[in-house]
Amino acid sequence: MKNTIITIIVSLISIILITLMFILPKATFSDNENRYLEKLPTFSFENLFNGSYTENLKNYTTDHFPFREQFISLKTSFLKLIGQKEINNIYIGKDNYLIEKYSNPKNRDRIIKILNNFSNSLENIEIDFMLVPTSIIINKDKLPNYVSKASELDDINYYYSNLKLNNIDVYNALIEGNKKYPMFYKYDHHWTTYGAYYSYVEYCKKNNIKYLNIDEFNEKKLASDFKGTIYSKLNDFTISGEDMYILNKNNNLTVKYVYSNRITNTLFEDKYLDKKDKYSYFLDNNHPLITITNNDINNNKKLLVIKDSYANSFIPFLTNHYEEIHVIDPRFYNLSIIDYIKENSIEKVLILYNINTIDSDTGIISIH
Amino acid sequence: MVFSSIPFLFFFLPLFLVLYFLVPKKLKNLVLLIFSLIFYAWGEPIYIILMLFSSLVDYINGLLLNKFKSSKLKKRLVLIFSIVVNLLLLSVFKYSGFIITTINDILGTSISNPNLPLPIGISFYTFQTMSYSIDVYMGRVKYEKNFLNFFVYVSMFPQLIAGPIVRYEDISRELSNRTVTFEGYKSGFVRFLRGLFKKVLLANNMGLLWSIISSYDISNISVLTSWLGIIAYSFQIYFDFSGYSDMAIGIGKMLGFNYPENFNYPYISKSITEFWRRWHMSLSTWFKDYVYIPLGGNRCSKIKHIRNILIVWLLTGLWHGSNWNFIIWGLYFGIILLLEKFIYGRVLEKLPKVFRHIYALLLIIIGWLIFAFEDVNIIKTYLLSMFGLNGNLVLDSNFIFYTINNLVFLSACIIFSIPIKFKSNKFISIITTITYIILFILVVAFLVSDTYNPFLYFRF
Repeated sequence: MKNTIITIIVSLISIILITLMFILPKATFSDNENRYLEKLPTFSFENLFNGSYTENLKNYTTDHFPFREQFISLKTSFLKLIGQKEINNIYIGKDNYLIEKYSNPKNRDRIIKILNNFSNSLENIEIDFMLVPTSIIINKDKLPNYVSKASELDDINYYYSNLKLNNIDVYNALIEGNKKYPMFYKYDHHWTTYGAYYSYVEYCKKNNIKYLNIDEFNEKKLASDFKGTIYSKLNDFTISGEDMYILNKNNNLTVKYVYSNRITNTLFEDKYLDKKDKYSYFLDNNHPLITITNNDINNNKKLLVIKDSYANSFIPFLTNHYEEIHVIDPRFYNLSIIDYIKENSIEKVLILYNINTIDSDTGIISIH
Repeated sequence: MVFSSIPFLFFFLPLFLVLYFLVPKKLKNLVLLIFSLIFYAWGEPIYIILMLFSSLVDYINGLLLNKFKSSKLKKRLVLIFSIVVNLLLLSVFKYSGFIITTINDILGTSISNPNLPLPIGISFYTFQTMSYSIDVYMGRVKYEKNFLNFFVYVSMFPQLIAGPIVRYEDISRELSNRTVTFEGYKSGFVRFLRGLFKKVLLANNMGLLWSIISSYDISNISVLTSWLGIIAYSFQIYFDFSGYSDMAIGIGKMLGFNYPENFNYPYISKSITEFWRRWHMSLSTWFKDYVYIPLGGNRCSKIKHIRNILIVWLLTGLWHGSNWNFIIWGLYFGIILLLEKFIYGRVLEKLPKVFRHIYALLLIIIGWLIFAFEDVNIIKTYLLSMFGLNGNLVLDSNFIFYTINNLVFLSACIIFSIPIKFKSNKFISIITTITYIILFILVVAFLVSDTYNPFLYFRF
């Protein structure tokens, strides 16, 4: 009797799922994962024999499985229920904090060498280097109990002591700032606007620039349901999102997205606020080359920022002090940055990376 | 293709079952063959030829052995031919890389390694076809006239890639004439589910834990963490392998085949001798029947007896993989079995049960350590860490963290390693039924998340 019922019910569930798989419309893009879902592979003997046909078919059926997102939520809920505090490389922290696990660097010495070579070929040019930590060491106290210490801070200091650049260490500033404002998002791997602000202050101190006080900006709440990349890794339906703020100061800007031939007067793109990927609000996600001119300033100061996405929410603060800022994302900019610096007679450079990205970035290792 | 995947569970298997049960009895083997070939071709289409070749050779050998019934010499030549061909296939496709690197290491030569990918299931099907020829030679079974039946026997997808090693004699009757009943179908169905749960829920999660712990700096992990890691691996390997066997036996039952059992709660053994009667039984009996006994078994001088045991275990080790650690692993068990047989077996039997369980588990776990790493130095370092001889801590926060994290999975692993029989009553059957359905849905959730890898391109 028992076996009969199990056989019938499990078969029925399977038949329903199979039917739905065929009749439900197929999404092409997963907002949550920020990637295109696998397309139905086209058959060829070549694909069959090199194994890619069957591999893609497997990914296709799995990607388009009915209720896929719900099934993933179910898995997360189950793992949380049985007390797992580390799911898909995310720690389930205290006070609803989700904190990405830190993985040990693989390319550290290689990147140090590349950056030192880069600076050697740029004599007379001042290069600042800011390596941003992540939530795991700034929100240490929010980690679940018994998580062993991450070596992130040691790795950051290793970079600082081996690079021949002007280091801008923001660790202490972020620790201090975190007492007043959240420096990192709970559900996204980026720093918050406040995190960027506190590091901006540090940047100014190092460069003898008179920084703006936080109350000189307009604080504006952009969203209260931001669910970023870390949320996506869990797809935990019990999470409703978090607040996102900006600190704005009206400047008369000309922002030029060079390779997409687009000119605008703002660093902020409202269109992303209705989407899942809200962090792209800053500087329209990532572009190979952006030039920003502040028409209110006439100090002839030019800065080149070589960066990852962390800089996107940081650059708005810098526009208050430089007449021209050039922003290069080496992941998308394949030309010689050294040539660019010479051609545009730039005298000051800031390299801004997050400790995770710098190790895995495919752009920085080909920087030249 | 693997059983624990969406395409198999929701496309291949249902479609196969529908066709298999729709077609008349005469065509069932053909359907089974076609689907088995698709199943095999899923990963390695080209190697079908190899399997076909091995099957053809032994099919023809069977015919020849029958033809030369009266000539001992000719029969013997045919048998030698079968063994040579099968072992040659194995050597070329499984061991050539290992043999070449070993020769290069010893002689300082630089013969280039062909790096052939291992044909899936070759260790299983060559043993099956070989056993067929041997059995026909010995007169244990009648030769198979129908090539279709023989090829179905070799290529049958349920047991093709991970056993059990089904002998021709086990299913020769079922190949040509089997009865399919709903009773058998549903008990096979439930058996299949049980294997699926073991593989997806227990083995995979233990594997995750093991992969975290084994990626640490092994000389620096605490004593308890190292134990947690290797215990997780021991559970992973058991539930992975026995889960696959359950799924194979289950599908076999649904189709009307009775495959031999392969695992019988190996972790409750009280000695290593007992462990090998409970672990991968179809392999141990294969070696017993086709190597150990032909060599003389125990009915010979003590020296020869010891030699026979060591040969069997050297080969058992080698069968599991082409690397030194597998040879060490095999001999490790060979030596323990000799010790149990000749030195302290009697003493062991008189000791309290608890002590015998600890003794067996300890040796099994150390065995898995040898099995886990191809690099002998890592095995040594890990072993030293397990006993605190690397100057490592006894306890660290990692141990507490990962034990708490996996408490439910670990407990489930322990419970399902022990035979527990419930008295069947209505209440328990309702609970079991509901649990099976929930676990099935959970398995789907775990499998679907397989490709769920948020691509964080805006990291850059």
